Amino acid sequence: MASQGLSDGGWSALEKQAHDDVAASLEKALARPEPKTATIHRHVYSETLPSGAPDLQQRGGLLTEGHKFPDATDTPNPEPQRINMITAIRRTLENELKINPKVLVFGEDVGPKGGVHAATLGLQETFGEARVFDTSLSEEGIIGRAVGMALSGLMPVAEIQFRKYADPATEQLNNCGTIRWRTNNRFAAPIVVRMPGGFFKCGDPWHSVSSEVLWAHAIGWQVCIPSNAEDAVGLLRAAMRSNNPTIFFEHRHMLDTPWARRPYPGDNYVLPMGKAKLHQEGTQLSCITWGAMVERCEEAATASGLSVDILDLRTIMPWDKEAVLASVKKTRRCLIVHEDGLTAGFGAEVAATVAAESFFNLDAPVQRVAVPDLPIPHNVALMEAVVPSVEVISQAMISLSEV
Amino acid sequence: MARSSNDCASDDRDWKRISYLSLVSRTIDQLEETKLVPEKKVLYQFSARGHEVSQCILSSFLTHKHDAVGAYYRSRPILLSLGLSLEDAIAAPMAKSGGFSDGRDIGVVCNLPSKNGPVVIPMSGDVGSQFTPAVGWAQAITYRLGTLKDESYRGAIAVAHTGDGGIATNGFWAALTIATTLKLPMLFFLEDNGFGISVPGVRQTPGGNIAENLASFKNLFIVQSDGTDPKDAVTAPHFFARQCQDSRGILVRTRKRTRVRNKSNQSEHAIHFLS
Repeated sequence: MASQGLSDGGWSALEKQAHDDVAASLEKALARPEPKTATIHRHVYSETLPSGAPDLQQRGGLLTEGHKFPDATDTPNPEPQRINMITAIRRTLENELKINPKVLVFGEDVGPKGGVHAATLGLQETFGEARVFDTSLSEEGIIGRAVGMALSGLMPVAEIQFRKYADPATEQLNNCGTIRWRTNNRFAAPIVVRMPGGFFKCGDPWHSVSSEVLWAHAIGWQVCIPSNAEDAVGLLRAAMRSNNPTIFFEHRHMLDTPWARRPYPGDNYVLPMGKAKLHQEGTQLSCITWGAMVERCEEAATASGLSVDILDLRTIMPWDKEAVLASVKKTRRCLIVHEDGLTAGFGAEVAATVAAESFFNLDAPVQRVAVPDLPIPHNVALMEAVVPSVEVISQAMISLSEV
Repeated sequence: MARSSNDCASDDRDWKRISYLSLVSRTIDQLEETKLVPEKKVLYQFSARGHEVSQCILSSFLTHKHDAVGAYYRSRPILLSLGLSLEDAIAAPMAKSGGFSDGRDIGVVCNLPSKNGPVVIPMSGDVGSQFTPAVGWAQAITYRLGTLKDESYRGAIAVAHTGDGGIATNGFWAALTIATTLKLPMLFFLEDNGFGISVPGVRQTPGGNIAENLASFKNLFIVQSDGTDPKDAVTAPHFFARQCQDSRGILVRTRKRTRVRNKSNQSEHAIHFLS
């Protein structure tokens, strides 16, 4: 240190310089204006400039390094054969891995085993251990690692084996969602988190959890809950090309059920976030639903003998408020059906919005059918007693139509 | 391959800059504690007192354009060393406009998106959340280098910076497991002042010394140094910088730690873990 001029005199001079520089900077800092309150809503999600280009963060995500995606379309180009949802997910992962070397897919059992649900079957063999790999059994590690990778400019697709096991990663998930806002668009961490959940042939409090509303309530996340193979392709690809982080909820029942099978819609098929699908058109009431409940609502509508608008939200954040309000305006009755628990489920948000913005279009109170505020039981009969059944939904439709 | 501490003899740190930045950080703390907090211009004050020298020394090794740091709220000396302007450093705790959050976040919850220099990953207000994003960055380095064949990443490292309370968190163990099982270019830089918030270190890890407890951890290169002695404090990052280049050297260095008191009567040490 002495050789670099830091003798006693040199040290005193350095101290004086530090004090002087801090004092000068303090004056400038004090003179800075307060932040503008009008812009506080900005940068929760990626925004678009007037030119149409994204208002890019400085760090994180594919776009900051100039990545260009192939052209996309929301018009399906269906193949002749129908495939199940798990195959649709696998093919989408495979295609994006193939065309984008910055995509990595990882999680517990994702490697040689191919995932407990077989979503990644064969992908490690094709793309190698560096790109498709098993992780340690730490969900915090899976999600935090994904965040770091995204911040460095990669596109990580993390698998949480079952929705419930995202619990240990809650801190990282919450922090990931708010990075863009907290840093005023200096950073963003667009990651995709795939998490299967919901009921299956039997249920239980661990593997059958939905709780999708938690991610809608978390700040900065897109939340996809496809009901069928075609939507799964379009939404997963949208997530993997998005500049925002996305929760991609894979319903266990829908992964292989015949109802959810659809033709593969093509390698360029990308759906917009926040665009509901009018699954079935009707005139007597609007049924707002998503995920596995779409199938049950369809059956329930048939059983009820009513003419029912069935709106599949497909994503609950963002959600297609305009489509819901348009449907309710048409039918004047609104039933919301979801598998998540009733209290503070996402149906409450939809109901409150309809009540606030379409109250005078309603001929009856908005109704909800959902799992009561209980965990999903293991015994099959007990599970069926709490998950909204076709019979329960159908009866709710009839009751609402009679108000 | 073992290395000896004599490797530090040829050290050529810019001690003048390290000293200046340490003094600046200390001066800002004094300014906040004696003027800006009493005047209620700063509502949350987190002191980096006693952390300055070791952080500035560490930062002097972070010269690779793809290096990154996952830091915590006592990291102002690192931020200043890696390019945070004095004006931003002073304005942010007053929640003024501009800077790293435009008044949205606490003034010491920082970030630094530097395009051509070390990045400071967006910090969080919760203890222990800095580890796994940092290890994700480390894995991204190996991926860019090994799979994408991007030679510009050769020699880059990720650093997780923590106090001794942080070593009890899930994030620490998750990141430690990832870094050591995958042999990632990752430095865990622990500043042990004997307390996690107000809780003694013996409640964070048995005996209070995580370095001793991790002595048998595979693929982990451990150095302990005295954070109050610049010559000693320079040792660990120096070894790490060398380690990154051949990734096989293993050295465990122990030293009786000393304490220097700061305003809150807590003391400062630095322990460094390398994987």
